[in-house]
Amino acid sequence: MNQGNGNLTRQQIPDRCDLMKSIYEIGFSLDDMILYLDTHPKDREALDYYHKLHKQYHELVRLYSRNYGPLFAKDVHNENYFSWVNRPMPWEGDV
Amino acid sequence: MWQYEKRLQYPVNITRCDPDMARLIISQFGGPDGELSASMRYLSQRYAMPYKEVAGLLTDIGTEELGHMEMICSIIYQLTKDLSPEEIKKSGFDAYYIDHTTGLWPQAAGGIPNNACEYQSKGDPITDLFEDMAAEQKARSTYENLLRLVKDQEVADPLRFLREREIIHFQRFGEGLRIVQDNLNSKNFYAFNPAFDKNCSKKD
Repeated sequence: MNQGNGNLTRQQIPDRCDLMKSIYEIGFSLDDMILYLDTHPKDREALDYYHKLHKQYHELVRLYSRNYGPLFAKDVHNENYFSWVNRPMPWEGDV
Repeated sequence: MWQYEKRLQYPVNITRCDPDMARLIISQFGGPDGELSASMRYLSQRYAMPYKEVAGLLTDIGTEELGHMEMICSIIYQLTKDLSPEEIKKSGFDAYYIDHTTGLWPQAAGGIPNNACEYQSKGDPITDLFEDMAAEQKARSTYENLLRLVKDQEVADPLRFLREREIIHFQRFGEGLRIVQDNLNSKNFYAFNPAFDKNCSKKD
């Protein structure tokens, strides 16, 4: 499954379900902060939290896409097959 | 433009079919207070919103509602997977099945097709935000009506998440309304429509 993740050995790659769980959690925190910041754009503490979540989120998404397939059509790394079309689709309830 | 993220906002993993429940939950896809109407309402209203924070809010809540529509559709998809004709006949899902098999089509629990009359876009920021706050409360009530009938925790869990989001959206829209009113004449919020009447806003 490892599609060339530079500095990670196979043992260090988190389990797909664990990784997706973290994406759900951090992604949701980000969704909620975005709505809060829309109506409180000057709240410095909230903005700092947003930036922290943003960094964590992109790291998790990068780790997931490199190992288990893209979450965005503009983030396909496989050179032999357009892995964007691979299953499972989100509604199939795999994670 | 929009970009699809290939995951749900919150996981849906249902292992037991229940076409009868799917027939009721479908109201939050295509019904009057469902997620499709919510998304289209906010995404249509934002063009007439003169205040940047609230235009941003309508965009982001309208986008989140698309994610909620996807969660509801996933629940229905999983509740109606691998049904036999006998199960369909027995469950009361038969009338829906005749027109749509087990495909997803936006309708209310009573079979009424999704209707743009529910989108309500008035081109007046105060009117639209009161509409949106009421819409979130109506959606909350609908989720509560569903949760009184749902016994399967795998179905109830994502519905509870969606119900809580209605409360958050209501709160944020309330703040949006406050922002709109802070930009208007506090002695008469209704002196003019800031989305239409020219040179009236405090900050123009």
